[in-house]
Amino acid sequence: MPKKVTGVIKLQIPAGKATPAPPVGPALGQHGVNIMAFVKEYNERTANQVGLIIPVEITVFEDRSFSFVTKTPPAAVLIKKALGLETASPTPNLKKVGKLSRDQVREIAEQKMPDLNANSIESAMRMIEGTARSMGVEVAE
Amino acid sequence: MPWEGNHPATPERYWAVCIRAAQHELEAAAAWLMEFGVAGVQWEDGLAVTPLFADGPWQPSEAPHVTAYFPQDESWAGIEQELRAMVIKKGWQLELNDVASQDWEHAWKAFYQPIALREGYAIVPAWIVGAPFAADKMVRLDPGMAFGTGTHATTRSCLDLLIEHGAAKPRVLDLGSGSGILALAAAKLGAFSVDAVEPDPVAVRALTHNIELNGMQSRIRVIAGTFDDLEDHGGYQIILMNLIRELIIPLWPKVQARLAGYAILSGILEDALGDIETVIDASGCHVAQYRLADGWATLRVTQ
Repeated sequence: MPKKVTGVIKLQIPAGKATPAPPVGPALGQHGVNIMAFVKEYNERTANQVGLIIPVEITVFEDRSFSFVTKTPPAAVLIKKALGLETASPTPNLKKVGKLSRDQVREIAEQKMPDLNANSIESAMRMIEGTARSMGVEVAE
Repeated sequence: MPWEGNHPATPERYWAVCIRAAQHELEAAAAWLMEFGVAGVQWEDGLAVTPLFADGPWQPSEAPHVTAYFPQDESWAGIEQELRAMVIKKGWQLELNDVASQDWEHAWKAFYQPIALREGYAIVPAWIVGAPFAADKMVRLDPGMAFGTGTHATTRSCLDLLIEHGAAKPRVLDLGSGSGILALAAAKLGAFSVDAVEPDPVAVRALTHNIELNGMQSRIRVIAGTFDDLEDHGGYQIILMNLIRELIIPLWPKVQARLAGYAILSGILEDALGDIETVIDASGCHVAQYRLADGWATLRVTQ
């Protein structure tokens, strides 16, 4: 099985609820990837996380066969979940929609750690804080 | 008007909304797009990834962006207004692309056509009916997640050598079966029994499915594991190894001990050929035939 990569497709889709409709269809279709094979496998693997948005990285090989890995939910999704928010702030600088405690930031950072390009929990926490601020969410000092 | 059932009608056209933002703002942009109720986003954070089973890291060529698809319906005008206001406020860039709806569930199939092989044999995608090949020379295949769709140079070279040499009622071992394409071809060529060895559980499912598709359950045995999981200790007239150098080299001494005919080795980049030849020579076997295609080498090895 020589595995030369011809493309990597990154998606964020609801766990257990992928369909061939956009964004999955157009993203995979142009690579000649068997869409239903992906949809079935993704839904099966994420069935126990329904309700969350799960990022997935699909690797397409030279002969159009493929594999994928799922990631931890996006920081923005975890922040909204931690604060029980429906939406982020439309004007993050002016209107704040919530405030994360240090413990909440740490908890999210720990959860996200495997997927973050961070070499310490402190730098992971700074990344989470950055995402929080861009959503109009304050962070306790 | 056709009855639509309980499903919402598929929109005829979509706007593909692409937002270009700094890498650290992409998550927020993606989350914001999701708030409009789209069924997900495609995104590129510009970071290199090293996929599992890949030959090296993948460096994206595109700058960070996130794309969501909106149906071109009566709700669009309001959404567009909000999108434009937001990107101005954020200093992001917005691109809109008009995308026609397709039958995405099936459109990808256009990438696969029957592949005619030598001596009347052919690989035919499962959904194609009426392909002009004899049923007993046709390998039916559902290309999916497992390697071996028939479009890769290594698979083609293996098939070519296999058909050229065949063997009467042989016992065959296929190491790293993937989709099962080589095991199935061997069975169609008259193999008495084929042991198809595959460690990846996803590929094992594809393999099992393709064996059923061809009604070859009685001739092909699936071994979900590695060479060391083989229960049978007899010899094989044909051993197929479309693997990679890193797997072939350590396996060869064990495999060679079971060889009672010839082996086809592939998945070898041309620059790795020397290493493989050294290992084969050292084992007392020799390379009887070479096939070179697209930078890949395929060897037929005899004792």
